[in-house]
Amino acid sequence: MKKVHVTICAGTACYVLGGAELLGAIDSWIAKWGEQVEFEGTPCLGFCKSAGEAKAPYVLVNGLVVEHTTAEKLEEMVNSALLGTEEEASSADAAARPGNAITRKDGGYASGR
Amino acid sequence: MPREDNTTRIRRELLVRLGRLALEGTLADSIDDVPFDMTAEGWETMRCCVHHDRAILRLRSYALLGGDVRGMDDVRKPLSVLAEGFQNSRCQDGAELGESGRFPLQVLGEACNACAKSRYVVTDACQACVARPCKVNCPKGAVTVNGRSHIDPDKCVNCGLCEKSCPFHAIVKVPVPCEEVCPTGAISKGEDGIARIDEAKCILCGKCLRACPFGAPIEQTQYLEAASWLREQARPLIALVAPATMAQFPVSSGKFMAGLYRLGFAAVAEVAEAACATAEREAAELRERMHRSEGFLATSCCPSWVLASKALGDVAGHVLHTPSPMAIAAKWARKRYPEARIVFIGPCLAKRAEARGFPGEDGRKLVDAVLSAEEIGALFTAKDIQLQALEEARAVQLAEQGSSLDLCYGRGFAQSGGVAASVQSVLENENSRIEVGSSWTIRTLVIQGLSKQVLALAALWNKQAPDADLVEVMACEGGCIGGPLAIAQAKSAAVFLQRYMSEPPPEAKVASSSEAVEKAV
Repeated sequence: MKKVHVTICAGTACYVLGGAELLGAIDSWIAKWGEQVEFEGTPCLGFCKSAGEAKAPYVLVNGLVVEHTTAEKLEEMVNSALLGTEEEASSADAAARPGNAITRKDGGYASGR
Repeated sequence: MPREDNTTRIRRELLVRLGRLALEGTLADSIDDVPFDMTAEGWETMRCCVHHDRAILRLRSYALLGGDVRGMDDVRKPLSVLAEGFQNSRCQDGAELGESGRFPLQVLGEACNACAKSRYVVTDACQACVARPCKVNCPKGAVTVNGRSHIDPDKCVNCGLCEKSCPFHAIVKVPVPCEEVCPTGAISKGEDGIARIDEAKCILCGKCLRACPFGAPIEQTQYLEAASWLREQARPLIALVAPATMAQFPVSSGKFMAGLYRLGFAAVAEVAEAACATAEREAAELRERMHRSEGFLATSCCPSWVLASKALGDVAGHVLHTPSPMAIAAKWARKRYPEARIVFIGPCLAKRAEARGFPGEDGRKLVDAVLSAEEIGALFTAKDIQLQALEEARAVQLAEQGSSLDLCYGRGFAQSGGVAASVQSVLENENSRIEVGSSWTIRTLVIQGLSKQVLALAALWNKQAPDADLVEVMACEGGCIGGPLAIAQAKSAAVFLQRYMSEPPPEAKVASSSEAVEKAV
């Protein structure tokens, strides 16, 4: 089974406009989804420059851009991504499954850079 | 603690948009567009229709411009006209300093839902059971069962016994969110159902600001004024950063301060320095007053608690007189930078009242403006400042002489228990210096989060003193890091504060870097 990869923008604009809540909720999501979902905080993804901060906070779910992200919206996106990956996994080679423990890179969250 | 939802989101987005205009100096040109820009394509209509949403956004902008949301005398004027007047009367150099003088918290009546009176309601889950504990337990005979349980609102006294006794949890309380959280009963519905704030009772804890799902309580702030100062740079601006503010962003304090310099502040100082002085003075006052057997003493740095204590009879007399870290830092800053404008930055609403309630010795206000952590975050966003990308900057030191207390204690003031720990540490330092036998210790009690119940308990201290010498009280849960105008979630803020507390103080940074230079040479 493939993992779902969630990248939360911790750039200042996203953080102020709702990202703080998403970063604060990571622990509860790890408890909920375990190793199926991998979270990563990242310094500015740059979307606020191109699309404007009105649609912040931005999050990437498996590389797909989510705008105006709320905890609820993110959970929906992850759930549907999980369903998608289960379908894929059943048809794909199960041996290719990565066995890594959950990694939570803190980029921008703890180290500041 | 911040509650992330649409009201928070809308408030912050409006701050960002208006902040950007104020920083660019285009407030008067573009402010009337903002309610339309914000509700452009992609906007999810919140109220009856998009026009109502825009009207409320317009009123929020009006309030940010200093308009009086109670009288709304000049509400018919376009915002651009008000913005021009605002620029002329309040932002230009030489103009009279300071805000409208209005109470820092108001209710925007137009935004208030006029929620129905708090009451108990029987839901569809009612099974009209044989036991009927709701009917049996009701002391007023307000419950009748006819196919289903019914509560007669005229007889009901809101005791809640029916709710507690129902085995199906079929009876629920439908509260009025603002009244429910207000610890002093200061906010209540008028005849028209619209909430009003009794300014004599309000302690500015900001709980209603967070609780109202319609965003009706609003602040009276100096946000746009300060943004205009930052743009004009007519006089140097000094930022006094509360330790709780340092714990609001996912970056080091050095990067956060670099952001403030980038915004246009000439100097940034840590209020934590002054907190060390507060702890030392508190310890001295405690020693003196305990000597006079004045009984228990309570901390004085939380302005909400100081306001609340005034309604608790004799308890008020037990509050220490030591000035808060903000007051001490402001005094130092005024002395060192007499020409400058002093801006305090914290996640606290009540500091706005403290800032104006205790004028300095020279008759000037304690500080020229109080900005919230949320407002500073909005200004960073408005100026496209990416904190992560900045080089670490350092704070200036305001204290003329060093403190005996490690700076990490001052930084710890932001957290529940931090003030008591600092005072204890001062006493321990003193004890280690004096001869054995004359050393003394104190018992402390730590209280966080003022609620109706906690204040009721504190009122009992008049009859029975608490079992402590020093009572630390903070109005917000978790302490100042959980302030009503914070950005970080409580858990994150606690982590950020730990990191900030472990960062070396400014002078140590110099030492270590010069050592590194020496090693490199």
